[in-house]
Amino acid sequence: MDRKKTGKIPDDIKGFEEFIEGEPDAHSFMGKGHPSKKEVSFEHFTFLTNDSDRLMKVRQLLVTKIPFIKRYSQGQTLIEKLGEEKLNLGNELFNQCEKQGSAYRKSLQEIFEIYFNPPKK
Amino acid sequence: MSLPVYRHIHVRTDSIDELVALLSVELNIKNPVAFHLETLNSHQQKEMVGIIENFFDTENVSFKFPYPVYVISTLESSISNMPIVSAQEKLPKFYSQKEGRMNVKETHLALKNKLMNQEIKNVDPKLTRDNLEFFALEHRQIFELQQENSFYRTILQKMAKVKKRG
Repeated sequence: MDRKKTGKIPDDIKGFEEFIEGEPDAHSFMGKGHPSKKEVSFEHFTFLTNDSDRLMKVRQLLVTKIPFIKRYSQGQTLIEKLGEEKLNLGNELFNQCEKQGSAYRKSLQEIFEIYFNPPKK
Repeated sequence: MSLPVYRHIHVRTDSIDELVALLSVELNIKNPVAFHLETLNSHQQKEMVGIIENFFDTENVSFKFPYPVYVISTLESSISNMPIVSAQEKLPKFYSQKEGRMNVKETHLALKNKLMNQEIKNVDPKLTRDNLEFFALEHRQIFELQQENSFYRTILQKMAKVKKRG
């Protein structure tokens, strides 16, 4: 039965009336979504702060990092070292392939045998 | 003191003198700039982009910092080193802010930014670009050498594995 009609509260919902029906005059404490003057101003402040961060990074790159890179460049040393390493690796690879019974020689031998040796009967 | 929002410059005639009069070395110190060339025909647009780019080159001023300079044009972006966009809506949103009065705190921050702008402006853009390009070139070489070496190392490792297996 409807409680409004009878005026009685069923036993199983006693204590939960307000929770079920809600308060008719209740309104959100957050208010409506109109930004106040202060909030708009805060937008400017955030924008200026972000711009300041951006400028700081640009300044750091142009005034500190690039001159530092130019003065203490490691590029050429690294290129020289990698060049040496490349030569050593090439030599090692060549020596390995050149050895008698190496995988490279075996593969070549197989290929030559297939194409140039007459088939055995 | 104003917010660093876009300064829109509408170029409606193909008069070179008028465009040159608009250009100055302090053009992009206070705010980002957007040149609107979309009302001109493509030949005129090309000419105007060339003049703007040439101005920055000859005056040794950067169109990238402190604030960027954009060109709004129907041309392809590859025709110039300058950033070209096809419509105003395609400009970075970061500088699209509502203008308004600043309070004391904001003015202080804007003044601090102004000082940084001055410092950035004093940097030699050509020297910076050359240094950066050289740095990039070196690192490209390092990357290629490193790739080649790792390729050789992989082959050697594979050969060693085969050898172990017999």
